[in-house]
This record gives sequence, structure tokens and C-alpha cells, in this order.
Amino acid sequence: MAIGMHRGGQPQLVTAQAPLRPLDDSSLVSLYLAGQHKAFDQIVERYQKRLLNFVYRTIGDRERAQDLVQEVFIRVHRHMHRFDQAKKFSTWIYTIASNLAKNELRNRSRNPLVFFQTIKKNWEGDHRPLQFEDPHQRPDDLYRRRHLRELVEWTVAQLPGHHRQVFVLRELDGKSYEEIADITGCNLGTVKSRLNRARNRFAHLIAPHLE
Amino acid sequence: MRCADFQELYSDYRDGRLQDRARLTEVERHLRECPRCARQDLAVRRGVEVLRAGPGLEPSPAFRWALQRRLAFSRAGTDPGLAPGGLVASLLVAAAVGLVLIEGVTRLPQTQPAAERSPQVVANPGPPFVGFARADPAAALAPDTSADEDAALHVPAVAP
Ligand SMILES: [Zn+2]
Repeated sequence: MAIGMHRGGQPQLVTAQAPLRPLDDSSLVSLYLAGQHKAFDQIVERYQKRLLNFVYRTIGDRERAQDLVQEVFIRVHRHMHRFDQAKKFSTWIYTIASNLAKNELRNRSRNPLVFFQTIKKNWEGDHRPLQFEDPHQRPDDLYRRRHLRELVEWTVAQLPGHHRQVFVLRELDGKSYEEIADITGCNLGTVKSRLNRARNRFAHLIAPHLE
Repeated sequence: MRCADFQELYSDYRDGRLQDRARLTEVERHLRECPRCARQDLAVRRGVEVLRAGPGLEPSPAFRWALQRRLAFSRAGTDPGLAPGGLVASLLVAAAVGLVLIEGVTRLPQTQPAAERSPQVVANPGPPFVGFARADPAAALAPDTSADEDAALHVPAVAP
């Protein structure tokens, strides 16, 4: 048995069988540090997909993004005892992911061959038959929709790396300016100007395809 | 309001951070009157809508398995660390180790000298292994000492 804390609420007794899904991050961290290893599984469950998409959109390589997200969890697991529980866990885990993704981009910029192979691989990426996507839609609608989605993803990929990261954190992960500043290690002014430029460029590139 | 002023205020407007009522009214009026800025706003809104509606990537079925394996190594202090293509590579290594073991078990009754049965024959490293950081299996199991680990962890949310 362990003690879980709901943010701003009363301490709550949690047995090994109690469902962990409704607990907030802070409670999961407390439980994990108190020795309940299942709490870590719940953290993985909660963050694996959103981190995968965040890292993938930052570096543009889905296999490598999986490796990096695994590395994020390894580091969280290894250093959880150093996490300041007065802070927001999601900001911490995103910061680790962001730093790993930035290192990856830096390494890639030194190796143009890897970058070329990634672009080629992603270009050949999605081979799922259209009929598996949504059986209630006409194939030409499905095709148009998927084509548009690919175009928009491509547009995001065209943004400079540090603009792209801020754009994704704000528009897709719903992070506040303050959280983005913490995650990227920039001040608020830089976050705002990067976001403005990213949106401006994004609109410029995608507008002709939306009309 | 000029287009440059609108551009300057656009993110604050889109994110609901424009506190000044007068400025907000000016921005909204500019959006109604300027087709160029209205087009930009529409493109951002529709483009983001399409992105959000997409299913997004799902972790592969092997993701959790490979993570559990790495966590077990990490607890034992033998995490192979972040090698390029690690997930695929770790699956291939596991498969190769399995084959070597099966090979060993099925050949046990034979009187073939052990020296002739080298694992290298079975675990022939093909193209997927090209990205391996460390070719030597013993070295691959060494603790992860990558220098960037502390850098990646260096965040304000960590207590000193
Ligand atoms: Zn204008």
C-alpha cells in the first residue's frame, strides 16, 4: 500500500490493485518513488504516444523517434529521484525529449547522408491501403484527406528546427508559452517571436493548398 | 492598423493573450478588412485543424517490449545505451541470440567439437546492423556513459 496525492487535494491511500489511470502525474511520481513500479508503466502509457509524435515531428524519422522516446523513459526512470516534485512532471519529461531531439538534429546536420536517407524513407512511408482508414468514406475523399494531411505534415517539416519545435509544442501539445520556455530553454520573448515566425511561414506554405 | 502590426500581435491574438480590449478590437477589424492577413489566419487555423485530426504515430508493438528490456538492463547497470536503430537492432539481436541457443540445443547430442560452432555463422550481421554503435557484443552491454545524458537532463525542474 502507498500514499498517493491528488494535486491540491487530500492524500489518498492506493493499493497495488487500485487503478492508476485516473491519478495525476504528481501522484504517479510519488507512488513510483514509494516503490510502486506499476506507476511507472502508467507514466509510459500516458506519455509514449505524445512524446513519439513530438520527437517524430522534430526530427522527421519515426524509427529513430522510437529509440529516443525509449531513451527519455530510461532517463526518467534513472533520475526520477532528482525530479523536483514542486515542478510540473510533464514539463520535465518534455524537456528531456526536447534535448534529445535537439542533439539528434545537431548530429544529423553533421551527417547529410543520414538526413537524405531519412527523407527518402519517410517519402516511401505510408503504404496502408486506403480502405482500412475509414470504411464510411468514399475512396476519393479518403485520398484527398490523406493527401492534405501529408501536405500539412510536410509543411511543418519545412519549418526551421527551433521554430518547428515551438510550433508543435503550442499547436499540437497545447503547451503554454511559459512551459515552452522551460522546455526549450528560451525566454518568453524568443518563444513568442519563434511562434510568430513559424505560424507565418506555415501559413505562407500551406495556404495555396487549402483554397 | 498596418499588416506589420497585425503580424506582431498575431500569436497573442491566436492564443488569447491579447488583454488590451482596444488592441483586440483593432486586430479583429484588421482581420475583417485585410484579405491578406485573413488568408494567413485561415491557413493557420485550417492547417492546424488537419494536423490535430490526424491519427498520429502509434508506438510499434515491439516498443514496450524493447523498453522493458532496456529498463531491466538499466536496473542491472548494463544498459547498452542509445545506439542508432536501437529498437530494430535489439529485436534482431534477440532473434540472433535465440537462433544461437536453438542451434546449440539441437546440436547438443552431436559430437561436433564446440570450436567449429561459432555464433558468427548464425548471427551474420546484415545491413540492419550497419547502424550499431558498438559491434562488439560485450561492449554493447557496457553501461551507457553517453556524455550528453546530463545535458539532456539539465532542466529547471530538477532539484540541484
Ligand atoms: Zn493585413
